[in-house]
Amino acid sequence: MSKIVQWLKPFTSLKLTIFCLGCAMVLVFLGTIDQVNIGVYEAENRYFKSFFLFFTPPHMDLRIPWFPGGYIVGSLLLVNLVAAHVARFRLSLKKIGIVLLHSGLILLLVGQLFADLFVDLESQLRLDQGETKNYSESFYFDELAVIDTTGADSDLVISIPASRLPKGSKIDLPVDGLRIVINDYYPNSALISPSQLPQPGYPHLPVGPMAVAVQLEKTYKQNERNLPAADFSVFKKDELIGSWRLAAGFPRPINFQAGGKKYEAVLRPKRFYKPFAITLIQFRHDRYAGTDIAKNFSSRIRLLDPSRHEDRESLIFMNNPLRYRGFTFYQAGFDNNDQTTVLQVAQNPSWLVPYISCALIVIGMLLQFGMHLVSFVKRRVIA
Amino acid sequence: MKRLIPWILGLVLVVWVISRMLPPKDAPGLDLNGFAKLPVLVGGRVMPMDTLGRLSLSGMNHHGTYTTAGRMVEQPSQGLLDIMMMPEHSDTAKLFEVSNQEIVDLFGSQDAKGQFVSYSFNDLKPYFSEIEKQAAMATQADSETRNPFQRGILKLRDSLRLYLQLKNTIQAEDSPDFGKEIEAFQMVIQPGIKAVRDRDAGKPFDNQDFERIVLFTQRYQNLSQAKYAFAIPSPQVPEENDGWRHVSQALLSAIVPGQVPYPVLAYGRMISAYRSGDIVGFNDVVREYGDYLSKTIPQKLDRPKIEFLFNHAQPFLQAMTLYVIALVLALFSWLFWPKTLGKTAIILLVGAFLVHTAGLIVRMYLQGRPPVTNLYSSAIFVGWASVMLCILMERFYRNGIGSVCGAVIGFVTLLIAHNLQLDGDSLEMLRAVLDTNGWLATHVVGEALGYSAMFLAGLIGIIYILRGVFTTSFDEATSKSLGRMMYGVVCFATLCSLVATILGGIWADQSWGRFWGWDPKENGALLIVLWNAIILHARWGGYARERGLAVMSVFGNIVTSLSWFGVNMLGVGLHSYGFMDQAFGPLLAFVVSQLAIMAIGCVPLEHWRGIKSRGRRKEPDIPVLTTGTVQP
Amino acid sequence: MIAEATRISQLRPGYAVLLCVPIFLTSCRNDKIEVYRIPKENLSVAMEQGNVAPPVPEHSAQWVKPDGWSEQPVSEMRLGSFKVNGPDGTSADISVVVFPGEAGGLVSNINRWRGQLELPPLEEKQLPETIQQTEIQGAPAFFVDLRTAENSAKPSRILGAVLQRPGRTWFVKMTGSPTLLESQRQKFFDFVNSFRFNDSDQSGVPPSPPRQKSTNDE
Repeated sequence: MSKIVQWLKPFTSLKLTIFCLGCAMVLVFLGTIDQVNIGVYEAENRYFKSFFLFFTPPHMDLRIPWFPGGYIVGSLLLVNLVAAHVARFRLSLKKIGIVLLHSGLILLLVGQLFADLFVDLESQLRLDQGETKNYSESFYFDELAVIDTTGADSDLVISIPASRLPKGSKIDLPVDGLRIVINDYYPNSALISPSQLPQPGYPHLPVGPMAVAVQLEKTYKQNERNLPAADFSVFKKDELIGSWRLAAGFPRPINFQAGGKKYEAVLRPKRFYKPFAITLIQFRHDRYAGTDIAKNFSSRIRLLDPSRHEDRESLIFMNNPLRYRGFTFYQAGFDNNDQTTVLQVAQNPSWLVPYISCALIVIGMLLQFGMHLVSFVKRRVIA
Repeated sequence: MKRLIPWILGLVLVVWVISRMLPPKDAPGLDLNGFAKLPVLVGGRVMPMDTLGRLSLSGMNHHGTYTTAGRMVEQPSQGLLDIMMMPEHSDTAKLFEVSNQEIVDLFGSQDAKGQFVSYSFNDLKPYFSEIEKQAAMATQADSETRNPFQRGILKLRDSLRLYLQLKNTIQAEDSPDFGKEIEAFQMVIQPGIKAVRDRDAGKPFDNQDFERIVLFTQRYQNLSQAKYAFAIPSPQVPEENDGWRHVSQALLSAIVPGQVPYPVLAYGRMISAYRSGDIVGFNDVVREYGDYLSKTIPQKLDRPKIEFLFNHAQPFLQAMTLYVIALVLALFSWLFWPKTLGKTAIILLVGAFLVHTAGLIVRMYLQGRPPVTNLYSSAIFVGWASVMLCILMERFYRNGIGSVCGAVIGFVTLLIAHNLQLDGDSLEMLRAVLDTNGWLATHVVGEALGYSAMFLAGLIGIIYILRGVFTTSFDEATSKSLGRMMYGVVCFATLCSLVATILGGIWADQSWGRFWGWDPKENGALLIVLWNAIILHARWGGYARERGLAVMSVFGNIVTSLSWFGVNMLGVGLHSYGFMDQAFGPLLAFVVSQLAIMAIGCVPLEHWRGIKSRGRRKEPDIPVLTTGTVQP
Repeated sequence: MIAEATRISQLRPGYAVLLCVPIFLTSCRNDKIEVYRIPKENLSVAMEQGNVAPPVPEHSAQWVKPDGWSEQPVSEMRLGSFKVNGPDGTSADISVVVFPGEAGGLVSNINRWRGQLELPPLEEKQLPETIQQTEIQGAPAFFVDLRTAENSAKPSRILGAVLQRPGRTWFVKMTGSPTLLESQRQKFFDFVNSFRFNDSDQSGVPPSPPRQKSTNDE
């Protein structure tokens, strides 16, 4: 037992605790200020979901780490907390408050780290009134989906993440010996009519009969979405099947055949198919009388899950999500003059953890400070 | 006898203050109060005309008062009456204020010299198209990145729009005599309907009747474009705007039944009486209309009446007065007459606290919500909670520290609140995501309590440093008790802020789908929790003792004020509920002042006047502040 | 208990292992190609129906919607669609449509509308008496006011406007009962007169992508 204690000693230092807490403050402060420039999502990735903060000297391509990032600070704190308890705290009644408090914190941090794994699976479910969907779409990630539609009652979807699509990439599909070569790629684009090009030779991708895609700067604004566009060619065993251009802002699929099979390809927000379907019955945007101030948003939906014999209606509104099969559906937004609802879909198997941690922390704190207060009052009364 | 002086003095002052809050006496002449109590629906809630007047006027110019014909008009209801009933009169009143020099330049050469320049509606009329053009361009820019000119011109454009809407609240502004006009309308309805029906059926019809009703209909349809305040109650149609209509809607709805609703006629008669100077007639109609309301919508009249009394009483201003007096007396009690002045101070503090509490409770009743719903109410609550903590502290320590802290924090927070109030309706309806009393009462109130405690700890730290470095009244007992106070308050702050922050995360999980989103306000709360944790761990590790604790508590002031106000200025994230750039300057000044005090606190202890004088003094000529009792 | 001062440099290299824990957790960055089966989806058909943005984004005109007109869903054909309710349950429908080029010319389109009201077509030389020509943003605009015949069983009325812009023609049409249209007449005129076109803008700056609204917005 003492060997473990020896081993852990350096990590139990209170100075380490204060150092980590101080670094955490610096990270949080800098990250918050930078959000004005790069948006919440990007700031989260750079400051809190990273090992280091980097800076790039001008005219150089280097990334030099100059400060520990969220992962290092968080892990050190976690290790420090656990080590201190294992090594130093003997389980005495006097310390029970602090033990509970720290346990709650540990649970919270670990739970959040776990939940972070699922953050990239966050998606949105956009439904017009009366529409039914069995999939949700990512707000940040797009996919080039190549779909084998030969089958009579099912389709095979091959989803290529947009991160694999920079200009010049060659992608070998895991099925059917198909290869996709990216001739050009815009991470963000907009669709305009050909007559709106500033000059005839302006770089663009012809996408439809009356539309071309031009490149835009990537947006970091909270409610704006990046819409990529790509020019690609499909090969089967080195034989060119065809070349097409697709844009996410206009997700009309292209069709082709290869090796006796029929395929469709489309560039669209990444889809997460679910084993059940949701229909929007009605979306309500209640306003306060005579104003445009929102009083309440609610979506009446129908949940259809044949495999579990579920066919029921449910009301999703502010502060009242729907939890089903590990997914949680929140009322997040609306569009189209209140005709369309936007539900946020999150997967968080550890959603109960913060509630438990909160209880532990509150009880721990009340015990710890309560004992202090009682002894303080006793001394005053005696004096 | 000597023991009674504090009580007498204290009670006299408190009673004096309370007397200023009593309901206004009805003055002879125009029944302004009667008009001010009349209910109207604005922004989704029913308020008295008095509030509408205050909000509108203080939106147009920062006092809420203005001059017309050389005279100063101080009562908002009087101003509103003029706007609603005698627009040609209010058109000449200097209602609109501009301070930005570039905007003033648009209207001809005049040097603002950093002051407010006042304009009347007629003054600005020739420049309307220019103002609209500039405002249209300003809206193209993102609200976070607008410069002062753009913000100022948008504010001016909105004030002008509001003014137009107010002029057309109970009448059509261009009508020479609206009362007679609606009577004429009433007579035109029946024959007009007949003419329309005949025309539709292809039969011969009376062209004049037809033209008349079409004219009126078009006129009132145009009028409905100015909808903003809904003054006409229609209890028979509760589903429409909760039973309130604009005068245009009420008139248009009169076509089918052929009868103009009584409230419209009542307001029409009020207008006629007011314009012709018939005071008696005006008062009669106001009374009659009031009786009508008590009979038809009695349940909707309670809140507006109480709000009218509340507006007049201005409890927070009165509390501020008492806080200032308490502060002065408490400071002097450290120099002489400690018992008398000290006791008076605490009595005044408690009196101010009671007035403060009363105001808070009335607000809760009027809004039907927990006490913290927007930035304004958070300031009121933070002050209230701090003062309560200070009163408790004073009860335990009886050394005047609690009184001084309570008075300072009470005064400062109410002053901040007063300035925040100029930004709109402080009793405004809550937007959808905040519509949950449970979380408002726990998370939001908890965060506000955390702020209160942090500021209190910081203030004690400031007292510790200033007294220790600059004065000789800093013996060991004092510094020890100050140290203990700080520690206790920091513990309380940690408890509140940690629990409230986690509750906020749980609320976010239920509302937005994630426990923690690194949103600026969330980060601000996290910074407070982290700083509290650092203070406590540093103290437990012995790295910070009393002086260290004081300096760190003062830094806590900076962290808290940035979290409370700074994040709103960033304009990003899900929490940007109140954008106030005018507060940036004062916030910066505050941060610098706290840094300066921290620097003073870091001066080596041996140079502290209070500590140097400890060794020398044998017989203290200043009261020794020991725990429990005050010894002369 | 006072902690012992420990220098971070005393950490033994083995401890670095502990720091690598989070690396495992973050290696799951999804860069992989996923293959899965779904129930048959008729993708092409699904795309063509409705909820996909038309290839020409955000019609190149702005207008001021009159009070009392409620917006209806738009489609690829109708760039603007409104409805206004009148007394006795009547309602009027307003549409804004744009066609490339001349779209058949003024005469044939007015006769098309006349046909909808069962009125006889007019010849070109008869047109000037029925139409009112004006100008909006520098290009010609024509207004017509058509009514069903006097003895018609179902009286109806069309207020129409044809706006000839470079390269395309805009049609604004209001259909409904004669009396309702009478009361909406001025609004119709104001509406059409409020049109502001961007077709003269050749700067090539593409419009920003449409922003959906969040329930957390101010």
